[in-house]
Amino acid sequence: MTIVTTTLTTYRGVIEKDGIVRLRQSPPLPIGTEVLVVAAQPLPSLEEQRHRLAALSPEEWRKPFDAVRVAWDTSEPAPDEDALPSDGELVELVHKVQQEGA
Amino acid sequence: MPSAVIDLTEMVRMAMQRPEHSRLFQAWEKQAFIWITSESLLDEFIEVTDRPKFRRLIRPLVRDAIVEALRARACIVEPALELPHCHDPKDDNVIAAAIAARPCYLVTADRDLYDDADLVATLRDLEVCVVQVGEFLDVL
Repeated sequence: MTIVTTTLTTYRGVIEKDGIVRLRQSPPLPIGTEVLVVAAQPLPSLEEQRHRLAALSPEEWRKPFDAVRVAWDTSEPAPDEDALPSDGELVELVHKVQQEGA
Repeated sequence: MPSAVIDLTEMVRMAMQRPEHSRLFQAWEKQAFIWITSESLLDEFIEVTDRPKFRRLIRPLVRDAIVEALRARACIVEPALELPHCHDPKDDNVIAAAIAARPCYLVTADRDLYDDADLVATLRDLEVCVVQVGEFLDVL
């Protein structure tokens, strides 16, 4: 018996005219690679989203912010959280991690 | 109310700081600006902060609560497909979100971006104003 394994990787893109799929970033895949498209509903317009947020009561608006405070008050400290990097160090660290992940 | 796309470094910085110490968090909570992001930027934020280096600096529960807050209290845009030339592809995500949300601010800690005079001018023509976080918070 032969077992064929498949690796699934996700890429973001949009459907264009005539069903052509355009990915937002060029993937490291050879031409002819088979793809399976899972479609997401389009997002509401920016204006709709702004109106939805503006319509929230002050109490409703604050809930996720309060949840961040609760997370701070109830979670274990991260091992090095008192050693905050400087702005320059943080930019460098983020770049390094991004490059490692590329 | 102004809108702003916040770059990855400033998102990470906010996640490292208690809310009472983060001017960015406070300005967002006070609705001094509308935070604009994209699923790509959120994915990148999650991916970067999951790395061991950042897990030593950021509490996972806090990171998760910030992601939830962004999904609930930020506007999420489909990133623009057409982008001006940028020297560093790592900046594409934040630039694509800002162009989709224009007119807006693009708040960045990245010198590669804010020191690139040609790119900053091109983005200004596209109604995207590139600023550092202190400058942005001062104009609110």
